[in-house]
Amino acid sequence: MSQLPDDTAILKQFRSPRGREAAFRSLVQAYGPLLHRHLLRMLQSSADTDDVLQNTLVKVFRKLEGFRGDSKLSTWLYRVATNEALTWLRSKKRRHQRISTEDPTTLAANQLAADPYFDGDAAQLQLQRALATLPPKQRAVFSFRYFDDFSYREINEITGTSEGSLKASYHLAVKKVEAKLKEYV
Amino acid sequence: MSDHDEPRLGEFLVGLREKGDGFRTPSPEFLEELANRTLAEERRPARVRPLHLTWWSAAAAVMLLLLVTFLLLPKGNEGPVATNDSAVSPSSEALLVELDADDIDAYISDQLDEFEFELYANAPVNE
Repeated sequence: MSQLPDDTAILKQFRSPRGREAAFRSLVQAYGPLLHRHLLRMLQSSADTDDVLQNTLVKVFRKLEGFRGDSKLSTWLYRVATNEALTWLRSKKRRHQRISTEDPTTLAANQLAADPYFDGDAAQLQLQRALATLPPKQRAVFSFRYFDDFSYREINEITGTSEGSLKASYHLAVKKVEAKLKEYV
Repeated sequence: MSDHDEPRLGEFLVGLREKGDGFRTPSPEFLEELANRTLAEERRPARVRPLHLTWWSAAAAVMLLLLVTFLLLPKGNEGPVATNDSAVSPSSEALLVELDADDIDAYISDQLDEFEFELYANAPVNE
């Protein structure tokens, strides 16, 4: 979690009635890229990411005043975004099951090459396709550990899952992803 | 924390880790627009609307109930139970106010055989 802005200043400004919107804009500029990237990895679709990020920010705006600072602001934001993404994926899967047997995330991963927010090469595309086969929560764990290099303690604060379970989950995810990548090669 | 029991990544995953996830970072303009959309969504009095809808639905339901009651009650008068008449007479009177007295007399004369004797005795039209 690099490029941290001054969370205390943002929170102080947010709690003053006149500075509320300006503080929120600062928060979106500072943390928006991190949340956007995290949601892209979770959802593998920029259209879905756009919707889920807005839902996330609406919740953040409503609940930020009650944020007590028990964790870092970024941790709390990641938690809200992850929960929103998991809810979105559950709902999307339910809706999708009525019309198709294919997993919607796998479908999204197959369309990723044409997504305006994806400019990776063939190997990166294969990795995203492999990640799409993981259960959503495991995908989040893999993403935090592999791409962001978060400690298990940080991931525990975001997801609420015990560190032991996170280690097991990441271990399993790595094996699955490597097996998938071997299939593609 | 100790991550000594970290899984060993294969060569392919190690290489890809350095390259990143392949996703682009959104522009500051996109984020500004996103903040604007979120604030607009927050300002919109969306939570008031369902309450209005609820009230309108309740009012519509009451109106419908009154209409159904109004339409069904005259049919109830045609039945043999005379005791119902007192309950519906105000509505009937309100309706009869709009009608010409000669028309009422003409109608009763034509339909005289249809009226039950008791009903006719209890509610004489030319009272």
